[in-house]
Amino acid sequence: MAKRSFDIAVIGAGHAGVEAARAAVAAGGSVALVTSRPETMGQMSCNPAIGGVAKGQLVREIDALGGLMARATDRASIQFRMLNTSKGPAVRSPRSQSDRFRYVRSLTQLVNEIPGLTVVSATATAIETREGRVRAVRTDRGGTLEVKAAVLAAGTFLNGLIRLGEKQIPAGRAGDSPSLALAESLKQLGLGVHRFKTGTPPRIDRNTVNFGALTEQTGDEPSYRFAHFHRCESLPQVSCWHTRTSSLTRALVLDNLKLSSMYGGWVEGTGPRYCPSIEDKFVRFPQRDRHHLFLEPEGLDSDEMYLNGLSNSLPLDVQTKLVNSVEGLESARIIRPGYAIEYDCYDPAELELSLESRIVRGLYLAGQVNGTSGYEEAAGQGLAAGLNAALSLRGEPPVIFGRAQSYLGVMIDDLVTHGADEPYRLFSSRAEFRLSLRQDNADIRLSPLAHSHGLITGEQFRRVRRRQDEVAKLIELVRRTRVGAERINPLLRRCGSTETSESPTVEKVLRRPEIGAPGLFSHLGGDFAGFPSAVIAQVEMEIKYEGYMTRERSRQEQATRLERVRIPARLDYSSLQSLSTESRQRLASHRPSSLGQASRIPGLRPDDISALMVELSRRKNK
Amino acid sequence: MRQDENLTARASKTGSGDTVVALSSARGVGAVAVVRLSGPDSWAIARKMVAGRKKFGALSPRKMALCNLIGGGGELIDRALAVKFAGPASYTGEDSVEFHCHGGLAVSSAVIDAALRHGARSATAGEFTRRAFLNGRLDLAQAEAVDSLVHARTDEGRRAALAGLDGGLGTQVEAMRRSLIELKTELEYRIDFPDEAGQGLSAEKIESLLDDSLAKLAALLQGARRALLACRGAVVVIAGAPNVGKSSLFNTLLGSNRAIVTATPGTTRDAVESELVLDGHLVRLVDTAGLRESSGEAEQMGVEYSRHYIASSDVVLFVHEAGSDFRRAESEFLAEYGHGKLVRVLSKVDLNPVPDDEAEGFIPVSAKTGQGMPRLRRAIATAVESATGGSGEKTSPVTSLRQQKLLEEARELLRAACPANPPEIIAADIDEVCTRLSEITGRISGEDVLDSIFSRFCIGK
Ligand SMILES: Cc1cc2nc3c(=O)[nH]c(=O)nc-3n(C[C@H](O)[C@H](O)[C@H](O)COP(=O)(O)OP(=O)(O)OC[C@H]3O[C@@H](n4cnc5c(N)ncnc54)[C@H](O)[C@@H]3O)c2cc1C
Ligand SMILES: Nc1nc2c(ncn2[C@@H]2O[C@H](COP(=O)(O)OP(=O)(O)O)[C@@H](O)[C@H]2O)c(=O)[nH]1
Ligand SMILES: [Mg+2]
Repeated sequence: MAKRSFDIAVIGAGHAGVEAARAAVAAGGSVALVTSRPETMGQMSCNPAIGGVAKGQLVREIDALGGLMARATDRASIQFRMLNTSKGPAVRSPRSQSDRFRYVRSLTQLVNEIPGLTVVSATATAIETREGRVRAVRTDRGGTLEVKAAVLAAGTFLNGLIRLGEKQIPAGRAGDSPSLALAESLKQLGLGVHRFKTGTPPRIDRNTVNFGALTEQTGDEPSYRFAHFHRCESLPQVSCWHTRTSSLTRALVLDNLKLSSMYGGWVEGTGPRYCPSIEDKFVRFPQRDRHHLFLEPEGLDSDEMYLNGLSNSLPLDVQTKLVNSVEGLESARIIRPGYAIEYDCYDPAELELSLESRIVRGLYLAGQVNGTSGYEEAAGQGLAAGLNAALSLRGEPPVIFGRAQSYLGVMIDDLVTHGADEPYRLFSSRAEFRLSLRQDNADIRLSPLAHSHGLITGEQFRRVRRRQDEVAKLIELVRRTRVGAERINPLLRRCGSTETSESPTVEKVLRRPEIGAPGLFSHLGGDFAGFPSAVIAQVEMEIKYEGYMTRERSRQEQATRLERVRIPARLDYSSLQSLSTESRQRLASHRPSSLGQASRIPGLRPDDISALMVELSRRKNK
Repeated sequence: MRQDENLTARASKTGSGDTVVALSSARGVGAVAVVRLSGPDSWAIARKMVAGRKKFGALSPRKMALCNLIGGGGELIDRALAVKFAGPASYTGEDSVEFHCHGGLAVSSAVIDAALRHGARSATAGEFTRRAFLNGRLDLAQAEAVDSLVHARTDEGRRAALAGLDGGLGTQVEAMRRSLIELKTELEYRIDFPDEAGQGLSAEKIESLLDDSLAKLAALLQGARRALLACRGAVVVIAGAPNVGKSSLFNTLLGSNRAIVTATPGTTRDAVESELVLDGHLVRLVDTAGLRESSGEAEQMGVEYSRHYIASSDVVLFVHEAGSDFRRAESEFLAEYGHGKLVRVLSKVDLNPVPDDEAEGFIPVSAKTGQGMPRLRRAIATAVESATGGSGEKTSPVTSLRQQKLLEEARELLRAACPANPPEIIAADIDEVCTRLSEITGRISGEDVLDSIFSRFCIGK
């Protein structure tokens, strides 16, 4: 087949790959999206849900950067919930139960709308390099693509191996072939390979479930949208169902432990601690026999239900008994069994913060291949990798997302600075500036950057600015307006707050811990009515938690200052006599790109950082 | 001495690279001078400095041996006692050697010279202690205690420094930090796993946990003032109008002429400070400019300085001249400064003798004749003692202002934390407090809240 040339080849059209393709095209590259099966674009291999704590914030960031995930989620959402509503605005997180099939359809449509993108239906088999740089991607049926850069986003497919009891089946995930040739090629290129593992629970036929014995979980009003700039109609909303394991479940698991792939000694890969299999749960917490399980619909037109919480790698007959030991599932039928999968991924500590490999120049890695797990994590990295690949071909510096700026920045920095010794997932507690990294202000945080790199349009940018003005206006109103005691006391009484005899400013009322902004503004009505909830949340943070925001901002500034002190890539650490030998070794192996990044290397002391700072400024002054 | 396992493990793996040498005893004339070498090559370097290398090589650690120290030209420098230490069981945690040679600068300089010639480097100020800290032999609080111990001039100061040196502060601070992290773990669990965690922690529960830490901080801070005073000395400021004889009193108390005494009012423009020991208490006596408004700019600055000193003093010697209306002056002074720890002095009683009943509450003295001086010294000592919280036995491990300040900041932050706030806000408070606490010991915390969540709760629906 004829040779074709592109600026960039993106390998894999999963959550990472599609975002990489979109961002690379938006930043001006000619892009080939290479995927073995175009009909599975953005397929959810596991849980049919997008968002959640920290992940929901990330989806909003991806959207603020012009990504596709939020739009596809809105179009496929069949149940919406805002998590953590009883807590503060900073940790409220949107989560959507998504129709798997509609998600793939919507995403495929969005990908097809990307102007000038070439989708190549083929399996990549090798990456060719010249002098340590990517020059081509070989495929099985799409010929060789001559490229200047490549984004590797092949998910769990590289040397993928499904485990079910003692059975092992080479596969990328259930129903897909593994990528063996490509995995071999990457190994030859010298990338540091890890072996990770993950698992998925069985899917149940909804017609065989006794819903009468389960607890229904309905969602919120489906008015929320993940996407900032695009609105779509809501789909019909459905419920999830809650149940629990029983003492019989526990006995079954513990009695059959040696038949499980994981506990029978077959699995070598490291699995995620936050997503334990049912075997893990009973082994690690033997005193408990009742664990939560959730039945989640996989789609409006599908009979499959995802049995969240029962991930396992037991043989099929044991899985059936296991499912039937659960309340309400006594006669339930398994449509697809759960399984564990092992796959190759690559040490993210070998990457630059741009996600470019230090081993192979022009090769960017994103998603599961970097040792992360989760659709949102993959999508975020894909976006960063695609953008930076395109920028580097234009000779422009990469975009480094800061920890003070986004969850995306937190994740990339964590990966590159610390590597991954187990599958990495975002949590809100990983973000030291999380009061600022909220779902309600993702657009405000990221739109300037998005706009300057062509990821969003001028009109979209102006819309964000207008909303920012609304925030300022409402803050001003809150500070200025006084309310009479007779008007505010009924609300104070209702919220269990002491009544007032004066006419306090709205600001003063809002500062009371018992009073929430949405309730206050709707009680006041008039000028305070009609603001979007994102604006209200921002005002609430700025007023109610002003001291905390001020403190966090000053920490952000400090951190940013450290981040700005760049460390030359070729700095000879052995010449830095004022540092201890051990610190010099640590620095030399991590090669941090800034003082900020250096300060996060485990084992380095504040002392070492000050010494390094002195050395750097001495060099600069020379 | 308590040791942190991590740090000790680290120390045994590493050294700080080079070998340093310095005089470890006081500079100047003395019977013995101690020259210390520390670092991986210290034994080898010392071996080259002695005649009879075999014997030195065979010497086992912590045993003293008499040896001849040889200079560059092969000449004998001194007959000295040598002792080896094997890391990590040494002060710095590294291999080291001490030479106890004859006193005087000439000898010790020649010894240091010889060490330098054989490849050692001059230690920078405080480098031995810094190395000890870096090698995990001391935490930062202990390192500061060493500094205080070395500089202790009173028995009380020495005791306070020793209390700091046994690592008590580090241990207590670390325990407090751990319990706060535990609370944070609970909060984070509820934030990151809302579907699994069920109920939030009640405000009452949070409040009682925060109160626990607050009580511990208060207890640490209680003895702190006293311990600090013992280490750095109580500040006793001499205040009063110009020309009442403050500087004369200052010189008399010190037994030297540090401050300039003139008949022109306003001679002492800024504060002069000197140390003395009264009844076993270390006192930092400060002579200030007079407290009258004046037009001279430099003097004005001196007056400002006096106010500053008075504000931060532990005891004020309020001096007034006998014969004038000292009761009124006193009430004016108190109205302006309201200082609780006053010692009232009537000066120049040789010129204007004051009958005892009139002097009620004042101590009549004369700098010229020395009249009343013993009584004044006793009064100062008593005031210092009560300012430092009496002579109760309780000593606090706090040995530096830095530590005290950090503890106070932590206390204020904890006080301001509101249990009714949402969990992420309380977590932010805890973070701030923990930053202060880790700064005290200089230990990097490094623990992962997520790790502790995974080990305590069954996660993963
Ligand atoms: C069994 C299982 C269980 C999981 N459980 C969880 C979980 O519990 N929690 C969680 O957060 N995440 C889980 N995940 C992970 C989640 O599916 C991934 O994190 C996410 O899909 C990663 O996105 P990605 O874009 O990196 O890769 P994928 O979504 O895997 O996409 C990879 C894409 O690359 C294509 N491809 C692969 N190789 C080639 C090639 N050589 N040439 C061309 N195209 C290629 C594939 O066809 C696919 O389109 C699980 C995954 C599996 C398979
Ligand atoms: N006779 C007598 N003169 C004193 C005494 N103390 C101070 N003086 C004199 O008073 C003047 C002012 O003294 P000084 O110590 O400079 O006062 P200051 O301005 O308060 O510091 C000088 O001329 C001193 O000699 C004292 O006890 N007796
Ligand atoms: Mg004077």
